[in-house]
Amino acid sequence: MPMHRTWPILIAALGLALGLFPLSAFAHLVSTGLGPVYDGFGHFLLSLEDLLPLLALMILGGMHGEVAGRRAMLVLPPVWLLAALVTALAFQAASLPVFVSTLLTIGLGILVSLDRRMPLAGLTVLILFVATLSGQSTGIALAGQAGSVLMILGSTAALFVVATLVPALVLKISSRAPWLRIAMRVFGSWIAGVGLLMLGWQLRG
Amino acid sequence: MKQKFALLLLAVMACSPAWGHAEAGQVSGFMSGFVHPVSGMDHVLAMVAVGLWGAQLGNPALWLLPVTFPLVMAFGGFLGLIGVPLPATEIGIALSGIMLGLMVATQARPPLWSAIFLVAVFAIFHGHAHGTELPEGASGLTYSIGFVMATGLLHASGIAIGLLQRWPQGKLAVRGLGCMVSLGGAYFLFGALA
Repeated sequence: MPMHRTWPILIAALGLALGLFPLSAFAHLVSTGLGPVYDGFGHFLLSLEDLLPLLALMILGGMHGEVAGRRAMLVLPPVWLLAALVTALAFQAASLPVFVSTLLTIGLGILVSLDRRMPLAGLTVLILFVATLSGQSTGIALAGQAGSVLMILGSTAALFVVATLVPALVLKISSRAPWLRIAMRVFGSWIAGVGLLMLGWQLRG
Repeated sequence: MKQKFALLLLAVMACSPAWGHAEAGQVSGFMSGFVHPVSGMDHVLAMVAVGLWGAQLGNPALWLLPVTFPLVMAFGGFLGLIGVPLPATEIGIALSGIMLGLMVATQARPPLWSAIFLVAVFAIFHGHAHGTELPEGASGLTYSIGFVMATGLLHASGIAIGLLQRWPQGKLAVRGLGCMVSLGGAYFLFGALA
């Protein structure tokens, strides 16, 4: 089977495997004192374990060019919002393995550092996959909280800011000089390295 | 002026809610992770030497070596964290200083794959030592971010120093630094064996 066809299937299979393997989740909430929308905004920006894989995904989108960057910007926030809302409202008792974000961080960091061109369809499926898992993770963290819907909206606003700025920035700087693209790859290896250490930390307990 | 002062007073008196959050330990985790690789001279020497060697070898080793080292080092850290034993870690770290210093001092130009392999093997030792030394109670994620960033910046320092290569005297200076790294490694090897 050609590689461009196996990518989406592999990603979908991985998503199914992770979704079918529930474990306990760990949640932490941010209180800004400015109401649930800002709490959600702060929660997203301070939840580094959720932010890091999304950051890697945005960098990957930007490295794939304008069309992919726009796709990331337009697909990620709405899918993420939907996943978070559905999880927070309909599946309050749901849980995700703690290392889902970590595995995403490692995988996406490696993809950035490899800088291998993926077909647009494969990248779109990857965005959908990451958005669903990440949104689900936030939905679980915020489920049952007062004003959880507003918090999720605040988080989505923060995500939209990141999803708009990061691919655009990556696109701009990586087109300026080849070494800046290399810097992105180095940054990707750092992200993967952080993920590996986190995995060790989580397995140590 | 009075209007500005009144405006300032008003702004100060109109107390807005503070931006508190319950993410305790994040900053201390980052700082202790950031300081950790810098605090041991045996680690510093090897990491700077990786950057120096990359600068001598030029593209693509210039960036491949500093990409390989943190990634494989993180894998070594992972092994250390989950309790996989690695014998003679301190000796391996000291040998990394000696070998990498020698590579810089002699301006060695092995095939790219073997340079990457050499760096990766030593990175495992460094990572493992860090993994087993990680402090309890620190924020794991921010510690890891600080740790990987500091490692990468040490490589970047090595690359920056390696830019001296452009001048004949600079080339000599870089090779001299390689000698010093090697001697430092020998000192640590003596300490590890004693």
